[in-house]
Amino acid sequence: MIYLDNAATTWPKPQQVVLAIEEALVHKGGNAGRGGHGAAMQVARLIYQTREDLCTLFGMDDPTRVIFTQNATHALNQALFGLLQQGDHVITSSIEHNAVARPLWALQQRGVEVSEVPGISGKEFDFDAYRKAFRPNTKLVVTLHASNVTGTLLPIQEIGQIAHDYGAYYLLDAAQTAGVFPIDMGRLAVDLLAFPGHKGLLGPQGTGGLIVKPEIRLEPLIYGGTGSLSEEDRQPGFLPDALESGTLNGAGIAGLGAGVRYILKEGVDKIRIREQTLCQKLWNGLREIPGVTLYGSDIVEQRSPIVAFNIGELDSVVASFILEEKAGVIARAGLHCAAHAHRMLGTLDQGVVRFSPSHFTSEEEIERALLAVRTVAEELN
Amino acid sequence: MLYGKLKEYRALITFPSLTEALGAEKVLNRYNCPYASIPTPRSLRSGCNTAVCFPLERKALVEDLIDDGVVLTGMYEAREDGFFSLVW
Repeated sequence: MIYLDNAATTWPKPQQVVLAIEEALVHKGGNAGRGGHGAAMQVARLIYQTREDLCTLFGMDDPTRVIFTQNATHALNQALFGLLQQGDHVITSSIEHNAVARPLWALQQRGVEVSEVPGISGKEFDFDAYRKAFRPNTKLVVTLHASNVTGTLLPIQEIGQIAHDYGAYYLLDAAQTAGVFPIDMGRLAVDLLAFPGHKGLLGPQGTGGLIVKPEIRLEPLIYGGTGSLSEEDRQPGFLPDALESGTLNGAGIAGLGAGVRYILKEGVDKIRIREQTLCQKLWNGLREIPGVTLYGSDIVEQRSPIVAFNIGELDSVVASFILEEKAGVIARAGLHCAAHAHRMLGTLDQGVVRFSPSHFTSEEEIERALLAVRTVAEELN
Repeated sequence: MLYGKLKEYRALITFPSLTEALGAEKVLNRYNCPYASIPTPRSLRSGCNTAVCFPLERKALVEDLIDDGVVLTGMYEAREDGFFSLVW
């Protein structure tokens, strides 16, 4: 198998991640915060360590403001439903994943006003349209960092700064960039950061989180047991407990911590440059194949490690199926849960085939994937 | 009634949440201060059911805990006849 779907979930994971999960499952019992006994405290300490490691990676200094969730979608929902109320206005981009587009649609039904900054394929982010979108009741700007369809990066530093100029918060969806691009919340005008644990951070599925800067108060998405203030019916107001009801994924979070420590040791830049080099090789190779259409910027540094393409008019899902059947190449096809982005690209019908290597992908695997695409394209002709 | 390491250590701090208690453990580790996490005494009930005790002679470390951002709900000297606010 040549696994090129790391934008959906990374594989393989570093051995340290596997060992950390095994250690938690085999040697550390208990449920963090449920009882003060040694078994519960062992797992609680693993979870706390992961909070600290995430703070180190994202330039924060308060582990209590790292909220663990099931995934980035859960984190985005917590941020959006926790912050926005009827009468509030929110601005978003035109290339959002359904993890943002759908909660915003649902919030719209509840009286939240939503503006989408229009985008044109191949054009830069439209700052004029963005500035014009602000209203007196604009409470939040939410965008992804990089498109999960084409990898296109948004200018998040400027977007956040302008949001602050207008007195709005900025929620960043780092689903495609956490662990691969530097994200320093101490320097960026990002107030809330949603991230998956199982993509660039190299942890297991079922992990993710939301980091919330001080002074921002969110209503919980779910209520329940936190292991604290148990005598009160009212949900605790302090973090992380306020937003972490129910048992956490202790073993998964231990694995996530190991993934983050692996990244801190290897270096985000080293990982990204390796992945971008592989993407450049993919892009250059695909460009040479007659009938292949590439999407997004041809400058690899302007994309997260994704290469999106189509082979002639072939349905992308069929193309992906053939690539796996004939050469064991695993690629993601279809709409990638991001109809807004495909609408802008004009690929709502065909979808696109997406290759997303990891830094573990070998040059040889890239060459074999390119050969497979060439073979399919030649057979199609 | 004193129990566990509290019988020996005698300085006790309480927290609003377990995450703060875990943060305190980290700081005490950094200062090579022995400590033990124990159930919060019922009479000192705070948000968190885990409290941390450490040697009374190192009670000034409470300042370092606070400087480090750890949120406490109380700091006490544990005696046989009860808990008394810690002073130094």
